[in-house]
Amino acid sequence: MKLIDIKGLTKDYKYIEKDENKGFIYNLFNGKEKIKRAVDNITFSVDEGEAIAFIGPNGAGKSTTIKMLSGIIYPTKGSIKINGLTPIKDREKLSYQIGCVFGQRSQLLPNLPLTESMYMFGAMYNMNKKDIKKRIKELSELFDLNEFINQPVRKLSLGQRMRAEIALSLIHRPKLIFLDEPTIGLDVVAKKKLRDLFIKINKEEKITIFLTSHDTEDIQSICDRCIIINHGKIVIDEPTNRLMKDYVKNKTITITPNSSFIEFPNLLKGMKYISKDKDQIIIEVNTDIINTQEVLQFLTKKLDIDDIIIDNESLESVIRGIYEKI
Amino acid sequence: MKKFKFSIEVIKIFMHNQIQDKSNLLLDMFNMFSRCFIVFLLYAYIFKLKGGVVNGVDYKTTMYSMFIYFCIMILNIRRIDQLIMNDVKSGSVELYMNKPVSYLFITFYKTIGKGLSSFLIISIIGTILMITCLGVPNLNLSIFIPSFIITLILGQILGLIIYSIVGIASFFIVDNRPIHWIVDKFVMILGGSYLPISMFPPLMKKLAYISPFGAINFATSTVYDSWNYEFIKRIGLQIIWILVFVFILNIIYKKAKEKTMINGG
Repeated sequence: MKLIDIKGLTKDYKYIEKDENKGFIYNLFNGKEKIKRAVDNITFSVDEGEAIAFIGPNGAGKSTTIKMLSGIIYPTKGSIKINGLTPIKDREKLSYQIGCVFGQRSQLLPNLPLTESMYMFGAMYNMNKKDIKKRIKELSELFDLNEFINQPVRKLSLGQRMRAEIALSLIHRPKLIFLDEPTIGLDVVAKKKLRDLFIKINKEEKITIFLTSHDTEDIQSICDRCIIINHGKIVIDEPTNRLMKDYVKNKTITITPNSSFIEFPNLLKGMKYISKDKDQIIIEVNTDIINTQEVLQFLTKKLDIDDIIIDNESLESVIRGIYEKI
Repeated sequence: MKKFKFSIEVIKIFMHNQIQDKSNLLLDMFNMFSRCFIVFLLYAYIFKLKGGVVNGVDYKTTMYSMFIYFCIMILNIRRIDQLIMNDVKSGSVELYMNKPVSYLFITFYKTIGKGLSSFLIISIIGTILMITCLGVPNLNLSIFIPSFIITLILGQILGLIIYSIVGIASFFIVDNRPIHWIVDKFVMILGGSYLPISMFPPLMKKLAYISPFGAINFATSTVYDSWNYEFIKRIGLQIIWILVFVFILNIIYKKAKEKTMINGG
């Protein structure tokens, strides 16, 4: 069942362009109105229970899209349906079905314990005290909040605060959660913990995840599908694993010798040395030109090999490559 | 009813949040009492020069009027426009724009919650000190108590609305401080901050009476004799101004929401 259905979504921002050669008064009355298209006619849908990565370089239109989907900003053109509701018209009804986490902003009350923020937000969503208490207990177990739930928020570490932010955004049991760079600034341990939680809420609580992140580990570990946007347009919409298959063109092969390498043979087309010395050879292979089987046959014939390690290109370099091309 | 419960919940939580930082309360108290002390000394001298009565009003009544003004300042509802401007500038407005309760209402409750605890504590201590130092004011308590509470609440609601309109201006212009400055000075002057209302020349008195800026602080007039026969008119005026400004606020807020622009990553 479609939870998000977007058709022809467009957002234009107007701004006044000033003539640098003229003065303030001239520009006050004669500034030219220009239009910047932040989101350009995008169409896609998201099924209930999916985990989507909505990614792109800075200024691509990701956050603008999220803000239109969550009813914060008005679209210029196009239609948005979230569980049958139009965000701008049905903002209040929609708010009960969505949760939002903006990695760079906090909804928590700094001087008070997390529970107070939870009571406030629970009351906002018409929950009674008994319901809120029950939900706090559930979320505390799920997010492991008990160790700091009674501490003032300002005394929490960034990782704890992000867990608290996410728990808070789930207080009213939304069907869909928008995560805008939720792991920004976190250390590797905190990031891993958070990613595991996202997977858990997606699988166990059946919450649809709509994630934007610049961290490819987030995307790879959480999301089944990847939508890449640039200059306001969708350039790729594919399952994450297919993205790897379709766009990973380079493999790196690391070879160690039985004793030591003496000769370095000329390589076939599509292969090139990254480094070579008597203890180790690293070769880059373009799988568009030559397949891995041929490469291995060639290498085992030409070299005295003890061990071979084949590494795929990381999702990060795949995405970097896509950003550079588009 | 649910929205009322929510408003109480938010006000309570923000009162609690504010009171965690005791230094705020102490600073508010110091600010209030030092202002009162300076103004009271100054006017004691002026009233002494004028034989104890200015414009038909005595020193004690005038000082109670100014005391009410200073107490209202502790409530500080005018900070709402800065809260809105900061939210718009920082983009934090997005945190509340997609909630079931209007962003404006949440900001109203936050503003009240932030000032209410200091207001209550300082007003009570201040009243005890005033009675100890100046004596009980000559008031018709059966009129004063209910009309004071009503006019205080209506005035603060009107203030919240007017200052919210100033705050919402930041959706359209980069910096709303010049507008805040103009509105704030009108409210302060016509509310009796610099000069007690009893000393106003007739034109200023009329302006304080009929303008919405003066109506925010009608509570400062409750200690004057004239209040006993004009309180119904004044409360009526406050209600009219509230309705007018709610209408304006609605239109402006609707336009502001359409204009919302928050930068992303």
